[in-house]
Amino acid sequence: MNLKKILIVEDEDLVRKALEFRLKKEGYQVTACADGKQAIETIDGSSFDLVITDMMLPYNNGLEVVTHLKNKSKETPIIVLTNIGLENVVLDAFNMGADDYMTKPFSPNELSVRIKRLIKS
Amino acid sequence: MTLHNTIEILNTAVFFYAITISIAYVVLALLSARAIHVYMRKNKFVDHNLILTSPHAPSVSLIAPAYNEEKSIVENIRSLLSIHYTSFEVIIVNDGSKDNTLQTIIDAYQLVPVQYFVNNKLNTKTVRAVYKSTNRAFKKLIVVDKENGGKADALNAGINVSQYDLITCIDVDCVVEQDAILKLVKPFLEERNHVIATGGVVRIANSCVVRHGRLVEIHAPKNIIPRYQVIEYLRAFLLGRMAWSKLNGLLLISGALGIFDKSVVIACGGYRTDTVGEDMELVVRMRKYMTDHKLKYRVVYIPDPLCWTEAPDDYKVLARQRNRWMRGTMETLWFHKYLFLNPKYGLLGLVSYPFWLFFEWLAPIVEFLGLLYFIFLVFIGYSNWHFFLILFFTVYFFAITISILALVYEEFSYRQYAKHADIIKFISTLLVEPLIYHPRSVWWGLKGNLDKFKGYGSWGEMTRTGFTEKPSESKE
Amino acid sequence: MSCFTFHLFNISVTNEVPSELSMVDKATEMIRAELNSTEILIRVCAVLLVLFILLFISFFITLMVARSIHKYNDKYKAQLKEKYELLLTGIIFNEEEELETDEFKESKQRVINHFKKKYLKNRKNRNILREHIVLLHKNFAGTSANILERLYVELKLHKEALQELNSPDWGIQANAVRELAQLNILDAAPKLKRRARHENPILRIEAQVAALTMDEQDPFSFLDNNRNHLTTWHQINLAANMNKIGAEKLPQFSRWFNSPNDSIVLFCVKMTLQYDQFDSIPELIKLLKHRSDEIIAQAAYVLGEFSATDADVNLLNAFVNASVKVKLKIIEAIGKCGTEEHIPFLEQQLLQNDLTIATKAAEALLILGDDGYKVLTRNADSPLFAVAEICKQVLDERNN
Repeated sequence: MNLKKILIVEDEDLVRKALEFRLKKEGYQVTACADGKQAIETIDGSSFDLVITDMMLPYNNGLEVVTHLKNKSKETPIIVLTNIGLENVVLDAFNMGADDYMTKPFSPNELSVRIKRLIKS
Repeated sequence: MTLHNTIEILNTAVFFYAITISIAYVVLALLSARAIHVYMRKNKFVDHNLILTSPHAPSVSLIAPAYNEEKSIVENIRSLLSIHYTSFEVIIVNDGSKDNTLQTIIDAYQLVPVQYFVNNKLNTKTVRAVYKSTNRAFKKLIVVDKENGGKADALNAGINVSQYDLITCIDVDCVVEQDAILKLVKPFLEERNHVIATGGVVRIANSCVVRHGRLVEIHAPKNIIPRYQVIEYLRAFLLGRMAWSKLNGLLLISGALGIFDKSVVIACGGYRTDTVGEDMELVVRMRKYMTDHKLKYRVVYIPDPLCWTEAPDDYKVLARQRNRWMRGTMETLWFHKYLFLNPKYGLLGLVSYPFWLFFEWLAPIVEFLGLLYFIFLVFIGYSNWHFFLILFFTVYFFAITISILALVYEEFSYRQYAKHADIIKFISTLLVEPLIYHPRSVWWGLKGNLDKFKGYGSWGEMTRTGFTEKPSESKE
Repeated sequence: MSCFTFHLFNISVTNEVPSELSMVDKATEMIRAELNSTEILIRVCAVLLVLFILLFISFFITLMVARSIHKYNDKYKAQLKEKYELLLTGIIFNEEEELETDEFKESKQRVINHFKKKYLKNRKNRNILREHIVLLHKNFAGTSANILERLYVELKLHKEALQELNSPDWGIQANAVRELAQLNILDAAPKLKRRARHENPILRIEAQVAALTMDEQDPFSFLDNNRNHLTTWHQINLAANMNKIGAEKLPQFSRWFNSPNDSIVLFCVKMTLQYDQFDSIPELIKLLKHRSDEIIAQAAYVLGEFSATDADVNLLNAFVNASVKVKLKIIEAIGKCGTEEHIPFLEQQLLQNDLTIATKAAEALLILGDDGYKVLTRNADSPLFAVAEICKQVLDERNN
């Protein structure tokens, strides 16, 4: 069976590693980037079934990652991660085509449910 | 008065000058140690992300003037846009660049000219147009195109365009730490007194690895000239400014990075365009304004390294920079001479101003005259070599003790230099600094004095100011 | 060593006796005659020299020793954290249903035993683990957070934190308060709350935050009769942590609108907005007569955000003698809660001299809809340069 490919863009080591661990355990093929620039290069290099990105990123911010991905492949679903209280940033992300969002601290279980839903649809 | 008496008096005077300056440094160092300790302890509990996520945090306008920056401007703007803060705008002021700076930005960020009414609260050279991006991802970016008028004039134009109450002036070629604004904003939130300005530490980026406008690895500069400056900066920032901030007598917030209360900046007229020391001059004028209006206030300085800059790595460029700093200091001191020992201005008039006058402006002059005096003594046969030698070694050891103390502070606070080799390099540098570097810097300061007096005739005359020396100049 | 130097000096000084008596020599001799003062200087210098040499050496040693210790500690901590991470990620990312399975319980017990046996015998290791658990708990919610809380107690780490509450050092206390609150150790709640009025502002913030998240009965009692000024920073801390408690536990913040402590009033006005307490609109309107400009401005802002149409008359009354800062907020509020009948007022503000106010008025007109838009387009051709420019700016959609 073809493994579903997920890209994680998150600059906080702890969160990135934990997500990677968790999603691999669930049987996804996971690529992780620590900054926006790397993310955009990775998006250019291969295709993904889903992208999870933080909004506050070094170099290229989350909004740029979202626009870049949507310009390349409109269908790829995006979940944006953001700190609680930054909901206005999420609105911007939705305007650019993001599909779902989660605020930190978040429940890994909830995230995995949202991932399943988006990948199915 | 006999020659003997004169010599006696001069000797004692020089000696007391040296003693006073040394005691002043020791007192400042002790105050700094205390202030840094308190700051670090307090900030162990601080989650700066709270400011990031709070709707109650103030909005900030970042203003960065650009002059002939076509090579690096796109990257620099990008790193400013990715700074960690929620509510901010980035205002790039193209100060009539002669190269392609403006078009480069327009192309990279899909800018279009917009209808923008510039409320000229501060007088500036004509603003030709204001640009914004058609791409919503860059909606925080505003580019102002204006006729050339120097750095201060460009900053004033940026202030006119800005819409928020706090303004940050940034040197566009500095590498700014991502959480710099969060840290600089915090004093505005936690002080009960009205904070009118905050500033942070500037560090030297030579030989550090910078990737995509961010500092990735920190190293000691390979070239010894910037390494001297690292020692110098550590001394100035860790030992000096922290203490002045604690006393609320800080005179200088580096032009490279600082946040100001816009209403006060505008009320006292913005940056002066007729000085090369516009950053120091503004802080002094803001302080005067607050005191004149009997308002309680604070100027706060925080010890975190927030901003990294490429230091000149050859003596020619460095000489020019120091020459300009000296002239800036002189101009500021001259504009505000009424402060001297003026009790109305409290600590500012009684301590800060005299300190700058005697130890920043006069130090190179006194040292140079001291040397002449010594040569004179040798010439007339009064050469007590033993006295000279012991004095020399005392001064030398005092100097290197202060320098190594700065390294000790760094070790107990921010520990930016990870490698042992770096520290060994710094120690060897500080051992030779008083012998090789210091005499030069005295000479540059003296040259600044001479240039000021002869080149510009009268004080306060219009001097068209350029931007800071670019590191690229030295490479060319 | 210094004595030796002195000795040398004295000899050398007295040995040089002039042979000829020229003018210069005369002078030098006179100088030598009174070498005393120079000698004193030499002595002082010598003492200082020795002092500085000793200081330099001790600073050098301090620097090198501190560096080695710091480096060793960093390395140790990094290694330990890596091991901790490995152990913890293995058990905290499980699904809710898995928690009751024997398999999970077994692996959890294995991890606990491993921790106890291998790592938790010394204090340093325990502290690093506590730090790490707090960090994980901050980033993950739901089941992961619950597992962490249980693990924290089962490893008896909370006992250590409880003990630290008795430390005379406010820093250690504050750290313990924060940790116990983060990991939701409810038994400790009364102890934490007791520090909500502590004289140290940082400990106070931590204790109030703890009260907010843990106190079941009266989480907001620290606002009553509180004389301490709440800085904006303090308010941000409280506001951020209020998100953690359920909306049903929140009080009506207008309860404190009459507080003599202006900073508490200000904070409560902000919270009225944060939690959409529309019922407090009448109380907010009363605040428009408050003695503090800052509170009036904030109240006006919140009324605007609430689109409180009933507030217009009071807003306009407050406008008359207000400072520029307050005026700006009131105009903004009128834009949000006003109707076409306020257009003449806003146009009047557009045409007066203060251009900051004029700009605000133009923005308010834009929000008011078609009639406001008409006023703006009319004034875009105004012979008054500034007014025309302001209107054009506001009408240019790319600016918004």
